Amino acid sequence: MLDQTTFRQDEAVSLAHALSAYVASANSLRALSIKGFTLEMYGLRSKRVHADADVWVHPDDFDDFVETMHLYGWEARFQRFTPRLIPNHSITLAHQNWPCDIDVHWFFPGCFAPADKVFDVFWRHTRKVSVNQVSHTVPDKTAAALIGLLHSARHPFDPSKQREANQICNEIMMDSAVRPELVQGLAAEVGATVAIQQFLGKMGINIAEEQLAEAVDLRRTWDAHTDMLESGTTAVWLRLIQQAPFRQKWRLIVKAAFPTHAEIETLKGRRVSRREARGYRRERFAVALKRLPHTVWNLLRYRGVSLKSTEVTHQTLGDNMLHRGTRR
Amino acid sequence: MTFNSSDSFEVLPGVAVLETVDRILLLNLNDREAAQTPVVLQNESNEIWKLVAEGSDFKGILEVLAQEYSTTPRMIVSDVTALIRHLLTHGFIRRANA
Repeated sequence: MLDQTTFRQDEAVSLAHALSAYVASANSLRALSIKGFTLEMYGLRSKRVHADADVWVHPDDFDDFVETMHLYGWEARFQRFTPRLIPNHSITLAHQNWPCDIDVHWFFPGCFAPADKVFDVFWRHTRKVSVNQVSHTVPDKTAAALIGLLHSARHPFDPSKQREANQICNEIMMDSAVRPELVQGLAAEVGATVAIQQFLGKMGINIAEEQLAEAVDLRRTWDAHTDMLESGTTAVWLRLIQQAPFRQKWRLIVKAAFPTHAEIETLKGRRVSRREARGYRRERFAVALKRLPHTVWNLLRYRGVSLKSTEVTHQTLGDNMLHRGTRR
Repeated sequence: MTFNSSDSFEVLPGVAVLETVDRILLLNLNDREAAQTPVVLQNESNEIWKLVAEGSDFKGILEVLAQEYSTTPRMIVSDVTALIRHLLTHGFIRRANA
C-alpha cells in the first residue's frame, strides 16, 4: 500500500518548493518560490518538468535558510571556483533521497541595484498561495514576468530562452492587469532596465537615449557577462589571467587547466582513478580549445570590462558570496 | 489501536499533500527525519486517504471502499485500520473527535 521508493522528478520539485516555503515560514525567513513554478502558475510559460526548485532568499536570511535546510538533509553541492564577471547568484542544495536540486538565490543576475534592496522591492510584490496544502510566498504576476525575462536575458543566443521571453511579452501585452509599463517600473527600481531592454522594446517601450547613455558601463558589463556565459568558463579564466599581475599568471593558468584530483572527485561526487582524472583533464582541455576563437573575440570586444567591475554594484555581499559555493 | 465507527480524522498542518493523476504524495514537514522522503499512496491507499482527508468517519470509509471494490467492510477492515494507524503514528493525521 505504501511506497517510499518511487519518487518522480516533477513531484520532487513541487515538494521541494513546499519544504522551502515551510522552512522559511517556520523560521521567519524571507523566501520566494520563483521561476518555473510561478511562471507556469500565471500562464507565462508552458508546463514542463523542471530539474530543480528555485527559491530566492533575502541576503540577510540566506545563511539561516541554508543551515536549516541542512538539518533536513540538504547539502550544498560542490562548485569549483571559477572567476565571474557577475558573482555567482545562487548555491545548489542536493539531498541524497531526492531526484531534484534546490537552487537558492541571493540575488538575480541582471538586477544591478544592491542585492538587499532588490529583494526588498520584490518582497513588496508578493502574494501568498496555497500549493500542496502549504502556504508559499510567490512574486505577483508583474514580478514573476520580470524574473522570467531576466532569466531569458542571460541567454540571448539560446532560441528556447528567447521563445520563452516572447511568450512572456505576449502574455503581458494581452493582460490588462500586468501592463508593460508596470514591468518597466519594477525593472527600473531594481536596476534591471539594461538587462531587459530588448524585451521592453518588443512590448513597445523604448528607453530614453539619456538613460541609455548613463548606463553604458552596465550595458557593457551585462553584454560581456551574457557572451561569456555562452563561451563557458574558458572566457572568464582567460580574462582573469589577462588581468592578473605577471607573477600570478602561471599559477592561474595551472589552476584553470589542471583541476586537482580532489576537485575532480568532488565534482563527480565519487572516487576516480588517476586514469579517469587524466581523461577528464584532456576533455576539459579539448572543450577549452574549441571555444578559444569565440573567447578571444569576446576578450577583444569587451577589453574595458573588468572582472571586478561588479563588486561596486554588489558590495552588500561581494566576494563572500562569490566563494560560497566552494564550501561543503 | 482500534477505531470506533464514528472516529474521523483530519490532516495535520505542516503536511504537504501532492495529488497527481495516479497517486498522492505526503511529506511531513513538521518532522525533520520524516521530511527526508515522502510517502507515496497508490491504488486503494490513495482512495482511503481521500476519504480520511474529507473527514469521513471510520464506518463511512469502510462502506464506501467496500462498495467501490465489491466486497464487504469486514474483508477490508484490517487493511484500512493498518493504513490509518500508519498515517496517525507518522504524524500525517490526527483524530478529529479526540
